[in-house]
Amino acid sequence: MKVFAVYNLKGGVGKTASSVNLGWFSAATGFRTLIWDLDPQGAATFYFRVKPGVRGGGKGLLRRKRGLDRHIRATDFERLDLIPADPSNRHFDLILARKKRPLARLRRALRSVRKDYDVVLLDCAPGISLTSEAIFAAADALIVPTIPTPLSMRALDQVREHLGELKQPPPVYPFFCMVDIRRNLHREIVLGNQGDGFLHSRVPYSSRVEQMGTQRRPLPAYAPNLAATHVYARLWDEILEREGMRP
Amino acid sequence: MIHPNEHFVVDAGTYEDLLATLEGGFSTRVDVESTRTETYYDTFDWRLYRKATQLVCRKQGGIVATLRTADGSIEGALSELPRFLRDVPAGPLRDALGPLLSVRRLMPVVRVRRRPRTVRVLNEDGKMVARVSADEIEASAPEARATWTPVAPCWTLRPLRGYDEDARAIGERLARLPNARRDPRPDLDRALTAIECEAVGRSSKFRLDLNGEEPAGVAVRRVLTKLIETVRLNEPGTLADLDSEFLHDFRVAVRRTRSCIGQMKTTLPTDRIEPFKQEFAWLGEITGPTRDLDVFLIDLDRWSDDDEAWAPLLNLVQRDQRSEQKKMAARLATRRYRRLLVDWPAFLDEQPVAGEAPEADRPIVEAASDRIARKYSRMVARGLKLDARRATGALHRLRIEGKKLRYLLEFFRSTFPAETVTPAIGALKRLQDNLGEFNDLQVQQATLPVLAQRLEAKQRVPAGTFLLIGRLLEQLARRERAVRREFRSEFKHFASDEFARLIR
Repeated sequence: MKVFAVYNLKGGVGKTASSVNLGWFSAATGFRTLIWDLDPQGAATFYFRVKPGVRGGGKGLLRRKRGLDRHIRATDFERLDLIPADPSNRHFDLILARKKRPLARLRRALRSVRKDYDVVLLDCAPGISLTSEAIFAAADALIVPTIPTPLSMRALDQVREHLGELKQPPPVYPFFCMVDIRRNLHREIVLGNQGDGFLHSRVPYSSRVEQMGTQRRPLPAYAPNLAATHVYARLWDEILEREGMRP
Repeated sequence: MIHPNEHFVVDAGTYEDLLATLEGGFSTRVDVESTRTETYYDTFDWRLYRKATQLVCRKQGGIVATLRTADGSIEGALSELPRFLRDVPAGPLRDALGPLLSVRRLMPVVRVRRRPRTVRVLNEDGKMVARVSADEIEASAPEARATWTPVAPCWTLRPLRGYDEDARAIGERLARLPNARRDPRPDLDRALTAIECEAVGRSSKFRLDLNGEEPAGVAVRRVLTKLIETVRLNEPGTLADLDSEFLHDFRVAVRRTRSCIGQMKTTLPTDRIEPFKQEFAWLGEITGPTRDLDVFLIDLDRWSDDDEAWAPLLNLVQRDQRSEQKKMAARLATRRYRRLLVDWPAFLDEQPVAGEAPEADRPIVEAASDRIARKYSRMVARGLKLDARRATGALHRLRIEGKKLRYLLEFFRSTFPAETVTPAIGALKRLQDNLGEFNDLQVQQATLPVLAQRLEAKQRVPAGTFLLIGRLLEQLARRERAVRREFRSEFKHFASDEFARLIR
């Protein structure tokens, strides 16, 4: 089981859209896939039309004996399941802080479903906190959606700097998203940062991607031929390649 | 935890009924796929069916075969319709089929025309909470131009993880429908019912209930009647060359008949029996060559791998088998054979005349016990005399005697206590397996050099083929030495007091 955290220090960069669409392609390529909506806003949960809330709230999720199994909901798509967001996720830091060895908690919780899934995507809330530390400890790799703006690039540098302080940091796979190549700024940043660990696929800005909120479905389910959809497919292939995974 | 699928068979239920049942609290969306035809395969003795397994083939570009078991399904692509295991390319499908099929031939058992239809059941948020598949199915016999018959609809509720309560509610609604019943059996069962075909396990074991006090003349006639029925039952499969097992069972019934006539001759009128004896000997003779080749093909199948050097040998034996099969079929179409099938049962149906044979009126249990005891002593005497390291003819004769003893035990087992006859047959079978393997090895070692000579006369047979044959002969000779050694311990048990007590 591979655990990917879709993470960025900054908000509004397309983390949820990326989690949901990459999750869709992961399932479509044959992997049994679980998306865990860790963001208290619950956007991924909303996109899949699943009711938010889990039994016992955030505490219930981390209860050692029961495992994650009872919180899992099937989505409408084959092989793609979801752990919905819970409003109490915003207190996740507090819940973790009360536990022994809080940083190992997420990893341990995921162990209970390791036989059921090949891929887990953690849809993370922005910020650096105890929760994100626990996510870094649980993830095999970080997928970092990045808008080509100076502030986003600065956030990426901060993440890398922070990870540099860890003993065994997971690899970081940043990629550009919401790219509007007509804008000089976007173009310059994209061209200036080619290589530098960035995945090659760049998700273009598209109002059709924003429609995920009204469609309440992953992008490939309603716009299979959109350019952005194809980019997500290639992005997933690139990630598989970097991780040496085969469908 | 995901709840398992639930299957509801609905006699005379329409698809509209299903949608109406689901309305109220839920909404529905329907996905329809295009109609496809599938063919279910099994062996003549329903080996897959008996293991709750189905092999389904459908055309999709090439041929896609799916093996459905209780643990899930395995798919594989085939280049032609499957007949034997060797037609399935190496891979998970072949690995799973191997132990089920062994050397048996696959035959189509039923064709199914399926229009897949899935109803998605949605809650008030438009989220799917369960699927109900309601495929429209028709079935037909595997023969071309057979007519299509509708199959009773089955609605399968497929719950989704995390939506157990919705699934339970939907399940209750379906269960409340008139004519609906929970029925977990696969579509195959309903398809077979629709074409009025019954999946019955065929067994080549001899089973007949006799009363020990019955006059031997009557009981022996009943045994022989049962045997000629078996001959008849296997005739169509033998003629069509469906599976070598039909001819095998055909021949076993003929051999049992000859053995029964010979062993129990004091219970039947000699003058009446004599002409039939010749006819059954003839029947054994004309079916022998095809059976020998069938056996050899099975052996080759077991020995060969994907090495192409096997091909010339395999082709040669296959060609021989086809030509012998044709000859045999022609002989089984003659008046001579047809007449035997009429005259023999007519004789067996006759009321026995009192005193027509010396032991005709003795209770069968006594007559049979005598024969069995005598046969057993003779076998022990023969076995003790021979030297298993060198003997060939003597081992062969011992095998024939063993067969006769075994047939006697099987014919009349219902007149003896099960606790003695069952272990006796079991122990005898072990000795017979040893002698049978010895005989097979003899035949194989005699046949292979002859085939090699014939191949030599042909052009373009690769040297690898001859190397294979040479290697094989070495292995067979080694195995023969081992089988000879094993004989001693098997025979020791057979000749022991413990075994002798069972027989007496």
